[in-house]
Amino acid sequence: MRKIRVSRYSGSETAVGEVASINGSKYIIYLYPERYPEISIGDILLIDSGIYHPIIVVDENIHRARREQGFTPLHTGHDELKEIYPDADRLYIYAISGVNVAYADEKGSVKTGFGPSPRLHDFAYDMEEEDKERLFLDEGDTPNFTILRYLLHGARDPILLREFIARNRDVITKLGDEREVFSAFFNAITEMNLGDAFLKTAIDDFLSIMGWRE
Amino acid sequence: MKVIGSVLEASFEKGIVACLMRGEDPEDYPIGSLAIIDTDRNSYLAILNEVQYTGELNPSILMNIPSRFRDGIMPHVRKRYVNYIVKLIPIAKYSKEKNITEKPDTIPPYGARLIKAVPSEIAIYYGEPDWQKTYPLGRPKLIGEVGYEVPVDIKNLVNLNFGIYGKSGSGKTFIANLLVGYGILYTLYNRGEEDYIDIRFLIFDMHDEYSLEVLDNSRRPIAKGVANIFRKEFVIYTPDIENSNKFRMNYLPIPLYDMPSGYLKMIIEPLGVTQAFLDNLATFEKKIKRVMEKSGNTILSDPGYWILGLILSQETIDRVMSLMDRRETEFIESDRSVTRRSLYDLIEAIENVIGEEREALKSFKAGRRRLIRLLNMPISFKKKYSRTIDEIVKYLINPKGKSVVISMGRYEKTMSVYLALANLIGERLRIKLQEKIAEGMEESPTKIIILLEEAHKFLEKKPGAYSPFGVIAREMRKRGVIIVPIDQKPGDLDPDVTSMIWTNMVFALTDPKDVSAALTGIDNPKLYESIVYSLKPGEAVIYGPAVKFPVVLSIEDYSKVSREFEKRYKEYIGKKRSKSLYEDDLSRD
Ligand SMILES: Nc1ncnc2c1ncn2[C@@H]1O[C@H](COP(=O)(O)OP(=O)(O)OP(=O)(O)O)[C@@H](O)[C@H]1O
Ligand SMILES: [Mg+2]
Repeated sequence: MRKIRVSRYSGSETAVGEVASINGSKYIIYLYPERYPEISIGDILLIDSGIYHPIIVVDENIHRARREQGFTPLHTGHDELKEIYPDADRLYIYAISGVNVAYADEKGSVKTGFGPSPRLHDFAYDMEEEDKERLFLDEGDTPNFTILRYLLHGARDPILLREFIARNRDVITKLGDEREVFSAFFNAITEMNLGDAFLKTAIDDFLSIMGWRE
Repeated sequence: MKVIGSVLEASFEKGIVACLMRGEDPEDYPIGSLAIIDTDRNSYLAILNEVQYTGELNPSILMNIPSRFRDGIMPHVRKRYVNYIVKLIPIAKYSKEKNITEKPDTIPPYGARLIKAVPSEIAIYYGEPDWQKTYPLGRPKLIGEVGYEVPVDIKNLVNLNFGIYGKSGSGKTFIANLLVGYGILYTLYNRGEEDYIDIRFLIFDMHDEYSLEVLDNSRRPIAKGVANIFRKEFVIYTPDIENSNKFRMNYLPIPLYDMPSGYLKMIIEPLGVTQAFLDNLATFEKKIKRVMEKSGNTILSDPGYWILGLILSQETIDRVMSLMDRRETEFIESDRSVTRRSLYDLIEAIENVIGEEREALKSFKAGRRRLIRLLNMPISFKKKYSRTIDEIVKYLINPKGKSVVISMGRYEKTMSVYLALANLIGERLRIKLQEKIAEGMEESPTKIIILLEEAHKFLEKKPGAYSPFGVIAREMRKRGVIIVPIDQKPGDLDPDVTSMIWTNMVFALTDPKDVSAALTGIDNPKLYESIVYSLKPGEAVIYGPAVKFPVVLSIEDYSKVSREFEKRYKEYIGKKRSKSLYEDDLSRD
């Protein structure tokens, strides 16, 4: 079984943000302003929580002003504003929410499913491509998309699924033979009662994003 | 014990519906297989009569997936979206409390376990062949299992009429040879035992498959016919003179010397003569005989030749002469021209006498034209052949007799010859038995089993039609004579006869009328129809007293069993010979 290298996800240097709140399997991560442009919906983040490393998929961006009334449209645009007030970002919250889909232990073994909750202020990291692959493989290293069941449990959203596939297309491509990969995908999404319309869209999106539509 | 499903529905009327476990493959469930439904109190033996499923995956989703991906997802789709349903007919019940098997009078509860039947369990229901009283009939279809033979109980089989049905090439003749062999062994092995039955077969062998060789579907011989194996237990007759010489069979032409008009009727009816002709036949007989007696004709004064007078006309005179040349008559005349003249005189005299009634002469002449066909048949006016039929009947009835095969040889496709010989023998047998009954005989000392291929030709449903076999089937069972119709079209048989058939061996049939006729007598026949339609060659639904419970069998391969017959017969003959030698020694002391 392939493992991920958990040791490289430590310290504030490479972190993209910190855990700000936890609500069931949904975590809110506040991003460091300088890192927020890197993070999009569908990205996979790993949180260093000591022994365990919860893994989440970004499902929402929730940027806003720090105080309710603190935001006024100024006709300057973000870049100009930053020149005038270099500290402007401090007035804002750059946050995302993510759905817990897996966790890694200290040795880097990954398990799909909810792990122990992280602590507030635990660092979150953007996962490396080569480590992400592990999330789509089962213990025998064959393609497995059980992760989708956890993702869609938290957010039954065809667009989220579409984004998730698109953001991870390269990883998925490398998993193996296209038939094997497709079957794994199909098996996972049909294990949830998604409804015919969702199912159809999901399969369509998957095939077209992967470029496998004949 | 492998659980393969659970009972979802059950009723006496519709049988049992069970759902298979996830992951079971419907291709492991051939229709007609046996399975067991197990509850805490009973096990039910059941026959699978339907396998079905409904896929619940929306087809528009499935069809939207490029074909190269479809195979890969199927195992999962089958598990998740498909319910495999099997339907079963409960045929027997084993009570765990009472330790008995019986006809089911209860249904299993909801959720009862459906399990694979293994041979040892099935044997509880059907027993096992002992090659004494019971013999291997075939292997039931099981789910993924083989290697058990369901026995046929010979005593129960021959106690009542039984029938063999199936379309051409389905296996009727195979099983018939098999059963005849078993019947012979039964008689040989049980002599002196309590259950002893002296079984005699009368086999009308259209294609020489009992007397010579059994053929495969490409008409290649694959095994010796049963009478060809048990040589000493059979006498074989044939109307084919060449075969009679070549294979040392007894020659049996249609014996026309001194045949009463009642018998002749049965022979000429299939030739298309009119009813009026048949009705007048007795009168014709009387008149022709009178003419002959009075004629003072040196050659033809013997009224035993009256049928010759019946067929004799200007057109047939040469052919009648050639009958003489072939020595199929016994009157002698060295001068052909004298003979010819006498024959002409006879024609004239007969026509004159019959012509006393104008209508009668018309019908006479029309019928006579039809009778030309009689001259293409293997007929004989030799006196000795008129005794052959009696000889056959004697073989059957006499305790020192043998079984009889009528081997058709080159007449295998000439239905009229087949019908003529069968009806003659049948009628003679019937009359002989009725005489004996009148003399006070309760039951024939031998058990006579008549195998009738193309049975519907004799046992048709036709108002007013007479067939000796119909009478035998209806009335002679208690006197120890049974009829075994072997037929492709059981639907054409007289229901009065089919209702008297107890053990039924039903091979593949396609016409619904035939299927329902073949299944009269089984509980819940509707449930078996799908099975009968799906039978392969050599497979049959068997039900009735010869098997304990209904069963679908792949019948034993006769070509294999025939070798066993040869082996056992040799052993038997060997033993018999050494025994009689030993007894001779004793008597000399
Ligand atoms: N029990 C069997 N075991 C193996 N093969 C069989 C068996 N029964 C039938 N067959 C195959 O089917 C062929 C036809 O069988 P059979 O001659 O008994 O048919 P049938 O029903 O008598 O046909 P028909 O009505 O034409 O006389 C056989 O030659 C053989 O190849
Ligand atoms: Mg046949």
